[in-house]
Amino acid sequence: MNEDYLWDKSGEPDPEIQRLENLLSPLGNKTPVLSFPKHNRVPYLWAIAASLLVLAGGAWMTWQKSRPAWAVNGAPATKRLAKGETITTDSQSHARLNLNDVGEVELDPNTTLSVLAMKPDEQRLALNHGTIHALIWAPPGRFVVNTPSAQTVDLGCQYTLKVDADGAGLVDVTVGWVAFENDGRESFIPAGAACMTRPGKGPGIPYYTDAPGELIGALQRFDADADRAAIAAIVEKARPRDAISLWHLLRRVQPDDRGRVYDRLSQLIAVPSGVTRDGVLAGDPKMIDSLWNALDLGNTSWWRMWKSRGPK
Amino acid sequence: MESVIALFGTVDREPEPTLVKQAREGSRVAFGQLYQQYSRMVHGLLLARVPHSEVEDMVQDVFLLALRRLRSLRDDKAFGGWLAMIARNQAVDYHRRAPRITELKETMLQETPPSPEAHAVLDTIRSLPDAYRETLILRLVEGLNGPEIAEQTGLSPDSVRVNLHRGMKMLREKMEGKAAT
Repeated sequence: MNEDYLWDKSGEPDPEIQRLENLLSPLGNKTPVLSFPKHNRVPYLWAIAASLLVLAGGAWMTWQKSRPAWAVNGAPATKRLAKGETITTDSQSHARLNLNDVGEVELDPNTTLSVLAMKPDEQRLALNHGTIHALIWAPPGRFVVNTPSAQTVDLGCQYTLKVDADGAGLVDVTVGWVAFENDGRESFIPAGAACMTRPGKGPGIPYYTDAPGELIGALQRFDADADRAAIAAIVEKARPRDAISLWHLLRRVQPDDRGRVYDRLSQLIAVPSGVTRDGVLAGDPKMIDSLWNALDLGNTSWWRMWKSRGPK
Repeated sequence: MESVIALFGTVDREPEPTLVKQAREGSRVAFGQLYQQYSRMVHGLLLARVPHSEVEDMVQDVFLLALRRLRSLRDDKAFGGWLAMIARNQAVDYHRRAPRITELKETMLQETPPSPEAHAVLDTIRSLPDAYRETLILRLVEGLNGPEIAEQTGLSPDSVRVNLHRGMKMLREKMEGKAAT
């Protein structure tokens, strides 16, 4: 496959990609212009309505409206959600929060969500319990959701976050990336992967949701109790795609166990030059970063940059 | 550690802030230009999720909805990602209210309908994870290249590159698997 041609159509055309282009292009957009309805004067009506509202409203209303707030749809008697406020859905209701420069957050039934911060560079919510579905288009690092055991940092993505009655969380990422972070422990979760977080333990090890059940079970046993017996199953069941789980595991096992995790990881990925077994076993951060880069998921430099500019 | 541009998430860009501003002030010419620039992206995101026969009307719906909401968009640089969000939400709403019986539309009666093989490949792409199917449809169906996909959707170029590479690999594996059976 010609990667250049796939990326920007430069270089020698790839015959297979060209065939697909020719085959599929009839399904593409064929409408060159937008048809405006003749009666579509909504923007002007909005402007007039807004003006009347301002004139009719009192100072209190004006102040209320000027406060930054999430717009809310779906929850009875709630239209805006500002810093310090909380929304709760009952067993039958959903709600959708929207903030134009940030994204949308949908609440499932039986969910409680609070707004902790509304700043230009930080939108922070707290999910006490329940389930939210977030679709975020704000720049990476600006949208954060606190849970009882970790904070979820959006890195430009779409994800579902659940918190159960015990305060344990589960994030399932559909698009982009999410970082789970608590007390110095980090987990980086790409699209197609999920990760748990537990009170008192923090973020667990991420795993692809299509991973073998035995692998997921073993990872969860390790997360829950640092079960050393689970390491053998993790190492045995890991596929090449699961190298991301091994990379996280490498940073969390005891030094005595690090060797067998590294050995399996080195079978699944191309170990970069300059990375040595002894160095990794000694916990050399540069070598561990280099191993991440070999996962073919992007460069660790990005994480460093994000951390240096993200919300504090 | 060497400095590298954001690889995974969205990045700040200036898509068409002047056009967005003019459109917000009521210029339909400007909004029409935004439509011309972004309609393939919107069409592709919808096609990744809803039947082909529904997409054309829904593209119009997405832009008209965007026009109505444009005054509430505070950061003009976020227009592409904001518009993509509206398109994805419209697709979600479509499935929530999807009727059991589909109305016959002119778009179903094209003079040269796409081949059954095209629909079969499209179905295979739709079976891929969201990130891959969106990117592959924008590249293979809508004809956008990688940098254009990144610019219009708000995704980082490297994220798009990874999605294209992996999506194409998965697509090939699935097509080979079907051919073998």
